[in-house]
Amino acid sequence: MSAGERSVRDRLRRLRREERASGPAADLSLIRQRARRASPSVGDHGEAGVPRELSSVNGSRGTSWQRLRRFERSRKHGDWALGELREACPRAVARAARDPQLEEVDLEQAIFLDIETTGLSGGAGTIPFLVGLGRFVDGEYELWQGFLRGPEEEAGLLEHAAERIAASRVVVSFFGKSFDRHRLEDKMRMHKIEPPFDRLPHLDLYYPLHRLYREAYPDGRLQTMERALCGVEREDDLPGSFAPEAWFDFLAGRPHRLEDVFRHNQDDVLSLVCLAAHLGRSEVERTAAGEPLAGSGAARARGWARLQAQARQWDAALDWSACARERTSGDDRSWLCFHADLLRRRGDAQRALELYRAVAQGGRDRIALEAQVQAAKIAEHDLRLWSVALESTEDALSLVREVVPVPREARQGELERRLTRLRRKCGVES
Amino acid sequence: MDDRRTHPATRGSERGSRLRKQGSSRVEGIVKRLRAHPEFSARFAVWHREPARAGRSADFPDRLHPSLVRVLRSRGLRELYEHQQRAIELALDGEDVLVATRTASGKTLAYTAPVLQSLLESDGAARSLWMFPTKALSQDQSRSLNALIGELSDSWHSFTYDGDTPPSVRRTLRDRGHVVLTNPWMLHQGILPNHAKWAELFRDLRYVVIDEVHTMSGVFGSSVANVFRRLDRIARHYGSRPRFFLSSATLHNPKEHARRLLGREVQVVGEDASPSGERIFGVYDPPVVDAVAGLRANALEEARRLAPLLCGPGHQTIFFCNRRTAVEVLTRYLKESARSMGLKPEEIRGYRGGYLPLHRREIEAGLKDGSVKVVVSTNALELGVDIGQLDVCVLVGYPGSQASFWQRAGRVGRRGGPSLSVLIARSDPVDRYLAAHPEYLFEAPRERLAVDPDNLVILSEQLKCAAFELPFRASSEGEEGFGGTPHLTEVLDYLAEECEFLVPRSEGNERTWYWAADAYPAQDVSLDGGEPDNVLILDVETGKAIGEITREYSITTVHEGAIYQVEGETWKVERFNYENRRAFLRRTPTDYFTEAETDIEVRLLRLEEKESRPLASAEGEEDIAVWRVEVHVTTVATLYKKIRFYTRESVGAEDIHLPPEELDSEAFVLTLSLAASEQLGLQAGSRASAWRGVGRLLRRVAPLFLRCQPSDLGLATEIRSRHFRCPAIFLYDRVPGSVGLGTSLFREHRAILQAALEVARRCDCLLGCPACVGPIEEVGPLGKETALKILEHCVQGRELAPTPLPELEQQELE
Repeated sequence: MSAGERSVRDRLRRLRREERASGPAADLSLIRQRARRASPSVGDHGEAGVPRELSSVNGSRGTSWQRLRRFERSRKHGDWALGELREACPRAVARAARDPQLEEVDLEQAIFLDIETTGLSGGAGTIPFLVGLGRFVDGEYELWQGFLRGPEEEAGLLEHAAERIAASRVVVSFFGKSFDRHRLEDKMRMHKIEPPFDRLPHLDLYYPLHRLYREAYPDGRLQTMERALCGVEREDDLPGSFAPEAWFDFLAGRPHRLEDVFRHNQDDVLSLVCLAAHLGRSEVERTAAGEPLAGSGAARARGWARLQAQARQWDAALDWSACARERTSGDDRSWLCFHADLLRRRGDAQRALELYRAVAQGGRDRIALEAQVQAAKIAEHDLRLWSVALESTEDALSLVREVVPVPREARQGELERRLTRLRRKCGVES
Repeated sequence: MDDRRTHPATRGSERGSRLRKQGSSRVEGIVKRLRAHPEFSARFAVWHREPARAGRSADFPDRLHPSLVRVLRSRGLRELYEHQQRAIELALDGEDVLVATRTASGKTLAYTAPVLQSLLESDGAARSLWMFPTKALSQDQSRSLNALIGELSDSWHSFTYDGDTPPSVRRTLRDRGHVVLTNPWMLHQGILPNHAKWAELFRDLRYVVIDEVHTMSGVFGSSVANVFRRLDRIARHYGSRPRFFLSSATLHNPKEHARRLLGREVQVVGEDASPSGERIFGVYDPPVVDAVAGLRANALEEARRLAPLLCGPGHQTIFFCNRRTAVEVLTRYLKESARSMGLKPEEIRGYRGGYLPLHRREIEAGLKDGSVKVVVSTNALELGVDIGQLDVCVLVGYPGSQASFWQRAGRVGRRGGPSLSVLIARSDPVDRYLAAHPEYLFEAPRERLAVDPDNLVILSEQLKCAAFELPFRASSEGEEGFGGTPHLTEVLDYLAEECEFLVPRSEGNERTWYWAADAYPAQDVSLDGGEPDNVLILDVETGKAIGEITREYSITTVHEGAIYQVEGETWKVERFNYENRRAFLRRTPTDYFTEAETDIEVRLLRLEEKESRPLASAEGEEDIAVWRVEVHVTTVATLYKKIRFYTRESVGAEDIHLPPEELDSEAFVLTLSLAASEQLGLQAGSRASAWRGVGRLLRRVAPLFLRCQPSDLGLATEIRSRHFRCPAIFLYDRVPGSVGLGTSLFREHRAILQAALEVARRCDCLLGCPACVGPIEEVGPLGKETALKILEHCVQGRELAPTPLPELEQQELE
């Protein structure tokens, strides 16, 4: 070829410096992409061709492909049978999720949602290539997995997904309020399909489970929760981060691991049912059959105590708090402060004061400082015990000097004003 | 808004208006004193007066909505200027409009009116997107626009969307923002890739307003042009066909610039009908301090010496410096001598990027209310930020472009009195040229803006972003194309087959390319170029970055052994990891600096265009010729010299071992036939340095006629070119794939040669200096004389005429 007629492709290759051994390629994302492709864990196993059990459905937006599976209600996923969801208490779910709308809905009419996408970054180019939707129908649990054989089928798939979601009464997901919902919603808007989410309550299990169990487990991931709370053990699970490669391999006609992605997605959607069932029993702490609930009881009790305190249900909060103290070996002084605060709010100022002063005796630290400050307030304002208040304030002031790093003027000034006031009340000359 | 003249409400305080009256009479006094000054008067090479101009006003267009007219009237606006009226009429006719007039001529109102009209007519359904080159500008505009919108309806809103917008309000803004003010970077990385979230905006997008389009040239302009192609595509997807409203400083060929940028034919409104007071310009030429070398006194030092005459308590003065350090140095000088100017030190302020926003707002307010009397700024105060109109403007050195010059000078000038702008010329060919030809500044703009949206590197990167946003369908894209780019399908195929970013699918007879990669391409694609490939300069002791440099420059500045200087401190490069783009330096006091030498080899890939003329003395022989060509440039850093500070004596040299830099680009070539060079005596070996001197001077004066920095152009000179078999000067675009600088050089070659000749001819030096062909050490004792002869020869005589391209043999090219 003469130099004058070099093809656009030749020019691009040279300009983008992709052929040069000496220098780095100009395109960072290309480097990353190639590094991923070269990773040994992808592409070695797996099979070529279209995944099994797919059937086609026609819609106004074209043909799309689905895998439908049905599970008996008695089917076990971990320690739970899917049908146990019926015993979930909607009020417990609503309280833990802090969403009163959920009190009104029947979780048996929920759609359980989890999707696999070509990336986590979001944006118009991220494709949801596998949409898993589970629901109870005719006494069975039906899992629908809508699959894209190519990006051109997206509108058709989304149309069906939107219909299925719209036909339900509530959406159940894990982290779906932040991820799955938005991926689908954005894509539906792009294809001018009305997104169904605005009209539906959404139970995103991540948040209530995080509230109840965050102290007990290193992270709040779905797989951590399902193992700890529902006894689910996955075998040969393909990590979600490999999902994009599996689909790209399939598109390119290479051997792929899509079957593993289908299984991963199925496990996710089944776990949503069990986690929702667990959440619905977490206030009574027993299964319908009377078995004790799995998962850390101490964390759960604290979680409920905090939730009830936020709902200003002081009696319930105090019960849970006491329960948490019983379940914890050794006294956690900051929890005792929380407990004392509940006592005071319920009107038991005397016991609150005693507890705060006991906490303050337990060490010379910031917890002791906070306890003395609270003790002083209760003594001064609730019980009018000036000398007790004075004593606590004096101790608090010395604690400030011991444990608060400079600048501490604000803290100190506030206490000194209290001190002056109390000395006046006690008739002590300053 | 920059409609200060038309909105009395936005004018300064009482104090400000008193200053305004005083300032005007002071200006005449200042000029008188300068002209009478025993030393300085002779140094003013030129005084130029632009007479006061009465404004030409016009009525509000009849079809402008009565509510809108009422609101504008209630703000003291009785009528429009003619150019505003014309622009509004054109916009209401549905035309794409470019208003290219001076600072403070009321451009903002010209696009605000049609936008508000569309809101009124659609009962709040219409949306518009406004783009500004800086965050500060969009925030300024947002405030005044909201005040105006608020008077029309409670339920309409405008929002600024930029990096500072908290995520919590982004959703409201997306769904309820009738006017969204943003910048090209946010459009590129935030809005377009997430267009579904912005569906409300795109569904009824009526206007896209782009402010200050004269800043959009080179790599940035070429990238932004593609971002607009993407914007257009997304708008079409949602069924809207927005009209574009552009504003800019006065431009050379604004229609063509808009066509390149948008791929649209716009209606240009360029006749400025706003009134202005008399403008007085003076060009100050610093004294020669070294007659042999032709060196002139430092411009910053001269600014300090002139300050007592230019600053005072009764008026406001703004100094513009081209570097941040210069701002700090001059501010300090002026504060130190504040008393002698009758000022308090706190009335003198510095201003530059890098100051905290609140700090900047405080200075801006001080300028508006008159409490700040003197401000020393970088270009940070050049673009639109509202500081009111001042009295005296001092430019310490030419800012590099006519548009910048006018934006800076536009900071002064109150109605009803004269204003003064002083340009202090530096020892630089462009400044030298302007000292001799101040009329260049006052005539119509000459700079060509180079924009090439079809640059293959930029285009392919932008097509990745576009494919991420929406798949490309062969047939439907065909109608509008991607701004009609000729390479669309080839680049898409390349991205699919060789990079696997896209998958091509066939649907029926139609081919469609889909994005299919786990990536968010806009994140890795910069609009200004270069970034992902930059070399990080690290302190070897702390691991902290102390600077950054393009890969291209790294081989001559951070090779092992190089001395790298930061604000007067010397650092020595211990290690340069070229593959990972990291250089490790240690702070090392030295008494020398280093200078690397390179070998540049230019290989011709393709001849595009030629102009030449025959030799007058020998008919049939060619004389000089200019060419537009495609080239492949290989740059090898060969060795570096250690040079002692001050004495410049060489204290040793070492080899550099780094891979060559390769570049495909477009070049402008000047050739001198063998017969002509014989006549000019340009054969003997030593004259090669004179030929190189000519090349260097051409490169330095080129920015007078095309918008670029000299460093944007690469230079190679050959006394006997392999390809042309005669002396050749190559000036090439340093952007891979080029953004059109070669073409602009080719078109403007005559003006550039002429300017170079003027500079060399008028330069005070005897045998060459940095302000003309280069110092004698570089050009040799006969360098200047020979260079002058060559330039005279080129400029005199017949103009060049288009000439058929010769057939090049393959082996010549390869």
